[in-house]
Parts: sequence; C-alpha cells; structure tokens
Amino acid sequence: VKSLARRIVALYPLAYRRRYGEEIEALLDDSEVRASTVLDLAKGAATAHLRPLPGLADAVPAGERIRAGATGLLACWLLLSLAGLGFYKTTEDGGFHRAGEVHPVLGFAHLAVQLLAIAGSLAVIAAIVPLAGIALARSRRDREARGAALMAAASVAALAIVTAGLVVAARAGQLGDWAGLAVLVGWSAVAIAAGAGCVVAARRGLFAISLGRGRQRLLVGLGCVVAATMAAIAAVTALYLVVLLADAPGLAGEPNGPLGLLSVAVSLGIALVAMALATGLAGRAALRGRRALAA
Amino acid sequence: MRYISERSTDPGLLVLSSLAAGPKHGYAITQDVAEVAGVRLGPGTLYGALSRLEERGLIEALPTEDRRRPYRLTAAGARALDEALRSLDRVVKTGLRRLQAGEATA
Repeated sequence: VKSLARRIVALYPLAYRRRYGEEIEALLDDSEVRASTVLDLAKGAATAHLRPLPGLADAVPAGERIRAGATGLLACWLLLSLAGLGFYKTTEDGGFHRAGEVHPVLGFAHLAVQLLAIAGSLAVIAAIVPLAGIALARSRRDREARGAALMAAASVAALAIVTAGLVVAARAGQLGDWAGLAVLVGWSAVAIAAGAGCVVAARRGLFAISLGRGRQRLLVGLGCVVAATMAAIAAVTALYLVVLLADAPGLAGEPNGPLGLLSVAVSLGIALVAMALATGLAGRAALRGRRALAA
Repeated sequence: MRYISERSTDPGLLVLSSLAAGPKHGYAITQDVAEVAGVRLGPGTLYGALSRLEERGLIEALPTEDRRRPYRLTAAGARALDEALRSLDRVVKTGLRRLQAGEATA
C-alpha cells in the first residue's frame, strides 16, 4: 500500500511535488499507510489539479510548466478517448442509426462527436510527431530520450497486440456473456496501462529535449485546440444523451454491455462524466500553459 | 475574506490550532491533531491545508530537517485563528445556553 501511495504522490502537479513531495514521502515513511491514505492522497492530487495555487506554480520555470501541462493534456485526451470509445461502441448498432435518421439532432450529434474526435486526434498528432522526432534523434546519445522512446513503443505495441487478438477472437466465433465481459475488462486494463505508459514516455521525452520559444508556442496553441475540442465533444455527447432520453426513451433504456448490467443511458452517462472530468482537467492544463507562455 | 472555516473539524483550523503550540512538521501535526481533536488527517488533506495556509501567509515554513519541514504560525495566522475560535466559541456558548434553557422548561 505504501508503494501505491508513493505512486499517487507522482500524480500531484509538478509545482506541488517540487515543494511538498519530499515532505509527503517523509510523512508516509513515518505513518501507518492504509487504503484510506491512498484515497486521501488521490483526492488531494485531484484538488491540487483543480484548484492550483498560483504562487506555487510561479516558482517552477515556464518551460517546465509548459512540458508538464502538455503531458497532463495528453493524459486527459487519452481518458476522453477511452470514454469516447465507450460512446461509439454503445451507439454503433443499427437501432441508433435508424434513430439518428428519425431524429436529426441525434444523427447530427453522433456525426459531430466523430468529426470532433478526428479533429482532436489530428491536433494531438501534430503536437506529438515533431517532438517525438526530436526525442528519437536524441535517443542515440541521450539515455532518458532512449528510455522514453522504448517505453512509448512498448506501450503502443502491447495495445496493438491485445487489440488484434480481440478482433481475431471476435471474428472467430461467438463469445459468451462472461467471456465477453472478461475480454472487455482485460482489454480496458491493457488500454489504460498502455495509455499511462504513453503519458509517462511523453513526459520523459519532453523533459529530455530542449524546447525553443516557437515550439513552446506551438505546443500551447495545439493544447488549447485539443482542450476546446474536448469541451465540444463532451457538450455534444451531453446533447446526444438528453435527446436520446427525450425522443427515444426505449432505446435509452435498453440493456448494454456483455451482461446487459447497465442501460444505454447509464453507460452514456458514465462516459459523459469521464469526458467532463477529462475536459475540466484539460482546460486547467491548457490555461496553465498559456499563463506560463505569457510569463 | 475568511481563510479558514469555523467548523471544528476544518483541516485548516486544526492545523492552525496545532501550530499555536509551536512549530511542528507534518507528522507531528497529524499526531497532535489526532490526540487533541480525534481527527486523523491524511497526507493529502494535511498538505492541502498546509499549502493553502502557506499561500495565504497564515503559516510559514522553517528550514528543512532531514526531509521534514517544520511550519510555524505567522502573526496573520494567529489573528485568523483567534477570529475563527471566537466565532466557534460563540456558537458553542449559544448552543449550550439554549440547551440548558430547553432542559429548564421541559
């Protein structure tokens, strides 16, 4: 539990960790650490992100704040992508397409979520590709950049292999309810681990390379685009859910998932909450980046 | 503007009350608060309160001793604590008086 608690401390904002990280770790060494301690730290980390202290953030150099903000934004984008995947899987059946034809707002919202997801993905790729290129070029002589590149490659490869296995298994035959649930939970766990690996790799890579003023400006600008796109996706998903509940309550109440434990509306509600959380944190990260750039 | 709540279990109020007895580091604060108020402050809650109190100038950090940094109350912190405790005291006295009056009429 103590090891888990130490990992949670790593989730605090950079400025907070620099100022209080060592003290918190000393306190963990001195105290009895329980599950409630881990939850308390997680709550503290979330609060530190959502209600940052301006004086604390200003003590960290602007370039490092921009790097930390960009990494946080990537984590938020991946969380939203996972929730978006849930939205897409829930609404991919024929019944939803027919409902989209009957209720134009539903059809528009479904299409808009997908178009916005593509726009956001392009902005993320535009931000990552040039920086990944610099980190790769540097990886020949820099150990940290090499570690970041290997970690990113391993994370993407693990997710690709598990996804390919999932697709093959789904095409080969019918999975039972329990097997389907187990596969879904397993894939989600690998996806979350791979996402976390990519975020850590991006952070290591960003801190291993030098970022000129132009690249900082581009990174912050694209970060703002990603955050705005996330807000739009969350808003359109909320619109979709409201219209679905109002105009197609039968569809909204249908069971969803391998065991049908949740209804469509509850599944979409959970996805929406995750999207709103990711968007809120991303907005904060983007604003911090802008503030750091102006400093 | 109020910086700390008058709730008797508010972490900020508990930390300021603990530091009123003299400078302490994180672990000593949690021990003192647990003994005096029976409240177990987790590290996230404790450092959330410490960071906010420090940002607002109600406490200040002293030089680190082996990864443990003691904090002490500032003059502004002492005033804020005094104000919060007096307010809490008014609530307690009023509540007790009303309870006693209620018992007398019952």
